[in-house]
Amino acid sequence: MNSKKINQKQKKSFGVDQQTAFEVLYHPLLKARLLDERMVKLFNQGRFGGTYFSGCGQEATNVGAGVHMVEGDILAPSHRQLGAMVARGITAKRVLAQVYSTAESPDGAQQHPCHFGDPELDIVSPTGHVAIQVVLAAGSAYAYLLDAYRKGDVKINWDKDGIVWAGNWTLKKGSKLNCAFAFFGDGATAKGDFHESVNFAGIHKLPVIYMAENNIWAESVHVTENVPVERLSDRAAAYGMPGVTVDGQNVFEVYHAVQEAVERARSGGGPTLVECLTYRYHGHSMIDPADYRTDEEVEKWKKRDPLIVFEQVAKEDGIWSDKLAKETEDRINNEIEEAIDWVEDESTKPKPDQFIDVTFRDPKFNDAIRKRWEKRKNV
Amino acid sequence: MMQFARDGRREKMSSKNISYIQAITDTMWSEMEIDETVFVLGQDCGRYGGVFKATAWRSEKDGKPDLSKKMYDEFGPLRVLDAPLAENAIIGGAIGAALSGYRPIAEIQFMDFIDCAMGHIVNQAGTISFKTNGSWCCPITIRTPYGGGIGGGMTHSQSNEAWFCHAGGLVVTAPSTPRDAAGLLRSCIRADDPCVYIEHKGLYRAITGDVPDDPNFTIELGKGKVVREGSDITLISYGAMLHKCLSVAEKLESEGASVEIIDPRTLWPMDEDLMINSACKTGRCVVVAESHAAYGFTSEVAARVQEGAFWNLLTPIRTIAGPDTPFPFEPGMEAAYLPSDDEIYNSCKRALGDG
Repeated sequence: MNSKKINQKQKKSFGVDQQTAFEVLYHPLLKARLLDERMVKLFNQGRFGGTYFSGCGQEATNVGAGVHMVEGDILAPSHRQLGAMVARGITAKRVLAQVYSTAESPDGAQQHPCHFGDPELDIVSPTGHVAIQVVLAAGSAYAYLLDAYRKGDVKINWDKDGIVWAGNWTLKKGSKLNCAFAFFGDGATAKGDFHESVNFAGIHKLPVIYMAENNIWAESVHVTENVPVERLSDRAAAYGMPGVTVDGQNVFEVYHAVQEAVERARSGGGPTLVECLTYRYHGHSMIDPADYRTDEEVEKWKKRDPLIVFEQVAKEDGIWSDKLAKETEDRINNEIEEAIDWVEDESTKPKPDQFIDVTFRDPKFNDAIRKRWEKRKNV
Repeated sequence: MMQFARDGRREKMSSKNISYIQAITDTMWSEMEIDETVFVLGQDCGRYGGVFKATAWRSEKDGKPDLSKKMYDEFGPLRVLDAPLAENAIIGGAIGAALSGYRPIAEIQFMDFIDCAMGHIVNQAGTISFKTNGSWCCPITIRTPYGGGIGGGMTHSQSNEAWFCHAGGLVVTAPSTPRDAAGLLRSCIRADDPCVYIEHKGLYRAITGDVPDDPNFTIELGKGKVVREGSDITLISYGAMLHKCLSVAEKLESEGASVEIIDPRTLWPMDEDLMINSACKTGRCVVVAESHAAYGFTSEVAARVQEGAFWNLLTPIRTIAGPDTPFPFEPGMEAAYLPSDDEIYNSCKRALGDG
């Protein structure tokens, strides 16, 4: 299967109506942006510690995929998936609790800012190893295949000698699979984990949506220094899955491409690699001045900001509304202000020794660690 | 034979005399029957039944394998998955499946290959509970053969268990008998914590033993066992080395020394009280393992026992471990590499001679 550039239909909004455009796409797009910019400011003001990984500039890529997630779908994020999480339904309070490292954080303040995760929404908190989450997504997708198999919805098609079957299964008509969503950058596709994941998912036709965010820079390393082919989507051919490259600044285009991929995956058609051409406005994290790239490059991308592109496309296709845009912004600002007040005034600090009690699920193992730790304190 | 059931009721339970590897296969088989979220994945696990045949045949009443049907035939290719030759996909895949409601048993064909998947084991599996504040768990079992003595050479003989004990967040078990192999494996599969279950490949078909025929027979993780009671000296070991310690104990016993032997069974978290109490009682302690000495099992046990039993010790704790080199192939060198009965015996004699 060859990689292809998605054909732009006549309408750049792919026939999305006004209500869907604003409620499903514009709201999370703007919410991710406003929340992200606000957290950059809060970090710069010293209101929380560690560092911060901004996803500003990459919201369309995230939202266009995240809105397709349903209950039970796992999200295996990298560092810049605020947009996908917002689209999946994470609240500003949960996000702020995480970056402020309060006891209310979904990770119990164990992880540093932007290693977001939320078990309630099946979002796995990432490790610092880029691409590890990509493998995990394939494993979850295998679980979804087993779910359907246990319901009797999967038929294995053996070869004529009854020996080989791999990937040759069919899903009962009408049955739907959950989908795993893996996000990763251009740099991560240089890692062996990426290869092992797409290879495994390709063999078994697993329902995985591989969201490759090509934002040109893997920290300070240029995409041409990580990837020997022109398009990340070209890699898909080696794994027997379709690869597409989309304009990651146009949420409509991402939404449409991922919709196709998700429909295929849920009905048993296997994984898709979706390359999104996008850009991060800030450095890798807040301690990175990003002096390896030019101001001209940044400005060029900012002209194609996801919010600007949304407005342009919506206007062209006659679905823009100043009133809806203003209402959406007000609603989001209220939620963010309320969440900041809450996190700064009412949230609580975790107990400094809380981490000991959650290392193992079996409490007696944590007790043994605690005993030794207390002995250290009380010699 | 009379035993106590898990709920404490006294009842008659049958048992079967089976090999160490048969205990492993039978336990996986029975857990897959009981719980359909349990599945097996690994290289050569399916059609072939595993390179050691751990995922091949269940035993019959006489304890011999029933060669008419493999696990693959019984549970199908989706639940006994022939994974690609890719350790990251096997372990990372198992973790993802675990987060989505399954209890995968991932086989790494030789423990020497497990380093390929370290990131997934240490930084993903071992941190799931921690990084979700205890609200998500990662119930995977990683089975892997370890140990030397079979002419496996450098990358088919290693004992790398210390890496996982050192990681924080992983349970590491090392059964030494068929009974423990069954009970510990079932506990690992049912545990909500990620477990690394290491199998001494030299014991696979070398030893047999009675294993209860109970589909709920478990051995508590984190609990060691006094496998032989004695009063003069404590020997602590596991795996193939434990069996060497047992034969050394016979010899010492015939010479009038009373030897206590402790099998930790779970290497991490460690049952240190059991070892400390024994060392306090006997006043002498020798720790034996074939894994590397540096930062390894023997060093860790020695450190903890000296801390807990210092004022009761009559003699320094002695450790016997594998040299801190890669594992050699040539039979003479392999024999020289592994701790021998004589070395264990001599060390015990020295300890008994002091004080």
